[in-house]
Amino acid sequence: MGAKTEKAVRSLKITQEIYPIVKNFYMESWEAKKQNKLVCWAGVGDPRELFWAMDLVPVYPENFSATCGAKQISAPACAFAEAAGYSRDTCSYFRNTYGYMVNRDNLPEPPGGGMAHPDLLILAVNSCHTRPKWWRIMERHYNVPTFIFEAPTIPWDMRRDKIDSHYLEFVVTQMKDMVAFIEKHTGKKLDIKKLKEAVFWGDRASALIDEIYELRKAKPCPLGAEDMVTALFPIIVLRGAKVAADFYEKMLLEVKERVAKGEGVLPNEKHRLFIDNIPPWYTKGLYNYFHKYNAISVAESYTTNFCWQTRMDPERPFESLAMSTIANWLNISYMEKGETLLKTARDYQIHGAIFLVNKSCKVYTGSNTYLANLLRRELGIPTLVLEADQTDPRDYADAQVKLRIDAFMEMLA
Amino acid sequence: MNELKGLARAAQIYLDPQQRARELKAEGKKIAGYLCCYPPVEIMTALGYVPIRILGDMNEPITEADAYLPTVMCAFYRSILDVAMKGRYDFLDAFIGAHACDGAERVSYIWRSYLKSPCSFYLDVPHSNHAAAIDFFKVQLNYLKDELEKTSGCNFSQEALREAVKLYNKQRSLVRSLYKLNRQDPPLVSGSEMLQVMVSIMCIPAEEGNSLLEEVIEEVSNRSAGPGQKKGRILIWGSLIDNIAMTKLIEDCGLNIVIDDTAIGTRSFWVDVDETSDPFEGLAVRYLDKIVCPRTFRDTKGTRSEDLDNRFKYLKIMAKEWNVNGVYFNIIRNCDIHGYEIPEVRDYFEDIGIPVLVIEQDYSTTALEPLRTRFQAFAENIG
Repeated sequence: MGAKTEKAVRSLKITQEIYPIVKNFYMESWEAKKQNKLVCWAGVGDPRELFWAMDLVPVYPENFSATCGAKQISAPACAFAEAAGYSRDTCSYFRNTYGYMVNRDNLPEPPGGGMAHPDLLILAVNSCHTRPKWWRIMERHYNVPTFIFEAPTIPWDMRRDKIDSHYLEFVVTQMKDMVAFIEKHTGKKLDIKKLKEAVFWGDRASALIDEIYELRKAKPCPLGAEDMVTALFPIIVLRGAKVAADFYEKMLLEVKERVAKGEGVLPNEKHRLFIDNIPPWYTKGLYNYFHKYNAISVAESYTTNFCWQTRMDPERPFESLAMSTIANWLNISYMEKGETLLKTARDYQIHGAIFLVNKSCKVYTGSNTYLANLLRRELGIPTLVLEADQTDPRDYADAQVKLRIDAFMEMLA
Repeated sequence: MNELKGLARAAQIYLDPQQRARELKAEGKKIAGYLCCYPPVEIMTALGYVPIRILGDMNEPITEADAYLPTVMCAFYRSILDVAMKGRYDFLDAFIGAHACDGAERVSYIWRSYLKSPCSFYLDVPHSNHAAAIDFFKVQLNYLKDELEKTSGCNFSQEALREAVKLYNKQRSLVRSLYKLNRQDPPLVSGSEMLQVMVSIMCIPAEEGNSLLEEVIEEVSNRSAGPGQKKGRILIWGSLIDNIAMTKLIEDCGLNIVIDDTAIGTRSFWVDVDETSDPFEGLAVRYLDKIVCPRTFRDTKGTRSEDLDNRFKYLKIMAKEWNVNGVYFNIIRNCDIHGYEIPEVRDYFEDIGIPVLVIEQDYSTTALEPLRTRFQAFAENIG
C-alpha cells in the first residue's frame, strides 16, 4: 500500500483480449454454480483435462490471487491473513486467497466477482509444501470434500522426458483415485471419449505455445515478457478446452506475421534478457521499464512453467497427464534446471539475466543463486537480483529496484 | 579412551559434535551425514556407515551460504550450507539429502553441486501418508540402499537391517525413558542437558549413544540437584533447536523445558520401527507416516476440532502427561512447515487452557537477547 507500481503496456493485439477472458472465466463459475454444476477449486498445474471431461467447473486460487495482484487489489487481503496469525513470510497467493475467503465483503471487488464457492477441492502437490497446508485451511473453512494427491519431484539423475515408470505409476494410480472421487460427487462416470478430446485440445494449445515460444528466438524479438506472462492465462486455466487452442492459434498468427515482417517489440533491440521467477503481478510494468534501454525479456522461466513442452497423447490420457503433472519447472532438479537454462541462454541469445527474490515462493526463489552462478560461470552472462514479491506489493521498493536496473543496464551497454 | 560419562560426556560431545565421527573416520569407518529426521539411519548403519545428523551453527555468522542460497530460505538450512561450505562436513563419505521440507530439498541440490561427497543422494520423501505414497517411499528407500551399497564396500543384508532396526528401537525406547523422568516436578533433566544428549546421540554410533543414554538415565535418576523448580513447565513445539544458547535463555527466564516436539528432540525418537518381514515396509511406514512433523499431509478428518485432534492429539497427551502449563512455539523464520500451522495449533492449546508463546526467530545467537523479555513476560504470565 503506497508502493509505487505500474501496469504493463502490452505490445500484441491479442493480449488485449485477455482481461475480458479472465473476467468472463470467473463470472462463468458463478453462472455454472447457479445451474448446479460443481465448482472445484484446484491447483495450478493439475490435470485440468480431467475436470473438463468430468463436467466440473474448475477455478484456481493461485490464479485468482495473481489476478488480484494484477488488478492491484491484493494488499488488504494479505494484511487480513497476517492479522489472523499467518506470517508475512508465508505465500502471498495464500494470504490473498485467505483474505477473500474469510473477509470478502470488506475487500475490493475482485475481477469477475472472484471465485464461486467451491463444492470440491482438488490439488496435485508438486515440490511446494505450502499448497497442501493451504488447501487444508480452505477445506476447514468451506467444509467440502477434498482430494489431494502428489507429483513427486524429479531427482538429479532423471530427466523430465525420461521419467521412471515407478514415478508415472505413482501419479496414474492417484489420478484414478481422483476420478473415482469426482465420480462419487458428480454421480457421473468418466467418459473416456471426452477425456481424450480434452487431452487433444490441451496438447493442441501446448504445441501452439511451443511454436510461439520458438518465434521469440527471432531478432528483433516479436514478443516480450509483458505480453507473454499475460498470454499464459488460457494454458493455465483453460488447457483442455478448445477456447485455449483458439486463442493461441490467433496469437501464433500475429506473432508469425511480426516475424515475417521483421518487426519486433522494440524498434532498436539491443539487449536480450532472461527473467526468472513468478511475475510481480502488481507491477508488470517493470518488464516495460527495460525497454528504456532497448532491452527486452525474450525468455522467462515462469512462462515455461506450465508443461506445454510435454506432448500429450490423447490415446494415453492418464500417462500423458501424469507426465505433464510431474514435469513442471518447480519439480525438476537443479541439474535439469541448469541444463535447460544454459540451452535457453544459447538458443535465445541472452545477454543478461534477472532473478527475483520472491519471498512468497521459496521453492522458486531457492534456485536463484544456483542458476545465476551457473550462467556467469558457464557463459559469462551477467546477472541481476531484484526483490519483488509475486502478489504482495507492500515491500516492493520501485525506486530502488529501478536504480539497480539502471546500474545493471549501464554495465551491459 | 574417554573418561567422561553421562551428562558430562554429552556436554563434551556437544561442544564439537563431529569430533567422534572424525575419529572414527581416521580409524577407517565410513561416515554418512543426513538432513532432518527422514533418511532412515537403519539403512546407513546396516551398510556399515556411521550416520550423523547434519547440524547448523547458531554461533557462526552466515558469510558463505548467501552466495549459493537466497536469504528467503530458512536460516537453519542457510546455516547448514554455510558451515558445510566452510569445510565442516568435508570428511563425509556420504551425504543424504531429503525432501523433508522445501529448504532441505534446495540444500540437497546445492550440496550436491558444490560439495563433492563421494556419495551424494537425494531422498524424495512424499508429501502425504497415503498408501500410494508409502509404496513410492519404499522404492525410494531401496534406491538409497542401492546407492549406499555402491560406496560402502559391504553388501546389503536383510539381517543387518533387522539388527539395525532393533538397535535404533532400543535407542528410541531409552530416549523415551529419559524424557519420562521429566514428568515429575521439578523435572530431573534440564532442557539444555536434554539437548546436549540429543545432539550427542545423533552424532555418534548408535551403540555408543545407547550406552550414553543408559549412563545419563542412571545419573539423573539418582541426582539430588537437578534443574530445580521454576515458574512454568513448558513444552516446545515447532522448528528444531540445536544450540543450548536458546534453551539456556528460556530456562534463565524462569521456565522448565520438560518436553518438546521438535526434530532434535522427541520427534526423531518417539515412535519405533515395526519389525516387519520386509524391513523396508516398517521403515517406510515409520518414517513417512509415524513421524509427526507437519511437513506430512494427513487427510482432514471430520470437524475442525476432530481434525485438530487427529493431527495434534499427541501434543495434548504430552501436555497432560508432562503436566505443562505453557507452550512455546519455536519458529525459525521462513519455516513454512510450522508457520502455516501456527493459528490452528495455537487455538488447539488455548482451547484446553494452555497459553502459547509464538516467537519467530532468526537462528542466530547474536539475535537472542531481545527475546529475553518475551520469555520473562511469559514466565510471569503462566507462573
